[in-house]
Amino acid sequence: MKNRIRELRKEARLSQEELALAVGTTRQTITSLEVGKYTASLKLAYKIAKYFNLTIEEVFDFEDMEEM
Amino acid sequence: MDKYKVRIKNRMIFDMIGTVAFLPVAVYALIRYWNIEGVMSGAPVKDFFAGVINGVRGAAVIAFVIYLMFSFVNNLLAIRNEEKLKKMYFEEYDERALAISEHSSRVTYNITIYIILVSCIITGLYNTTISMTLLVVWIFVFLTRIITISFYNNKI
Repeated sequence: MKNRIRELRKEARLSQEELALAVGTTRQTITSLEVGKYTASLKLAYKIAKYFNLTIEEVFDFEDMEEM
Repeated sequence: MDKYKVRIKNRMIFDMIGTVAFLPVAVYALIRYWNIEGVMSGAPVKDFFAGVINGVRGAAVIAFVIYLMFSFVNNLLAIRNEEKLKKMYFEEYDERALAISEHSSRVTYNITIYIILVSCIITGLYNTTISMTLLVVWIFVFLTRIITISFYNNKI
């Protein structure tokens, strides 16, 4: 699933490690999310969106899922 | 996080008990390694293989004790450092790590069940006892899988 995590993280001048600690996950998970290898759970997606003061839809692209 | 702290403390107790229990065995194994040349000189080939097997067992005990000691120190440092404890908690409960573990377990199960079944059929041509033992193992593993699926089906 496509997302804007890398873009938002860079805007906020955060490292992957810092974002991971802020949302309660690991740096490896953030890396996987950014490259689209892993799809976040609803809980993690919510935490990430909340951290950037955005909605889940604004961070994650659900268009691929709608095509299914 | 308080619950996790209690869990870490329990682990430290386990590490300590394990270290105390296995340390004498590890020390004994280590002493035997140092004397290995004396023991092995002039030994026949079959004794050499027995020595290798005993050596591997000894190495496993030594590795286990080292692991327990490392785990104890690591947990102690985490208990004393809130930041490290938090990081450790995130690593342990990371959803991606759990997903990897689940996928890996599923693949391992599938491979195991097919290998046991194929081995059961092949050994059946040569040795009935081994084949029947493998069949019992296969049934046990398969039934365990069905029971756990049914359990989690009701739970989740």
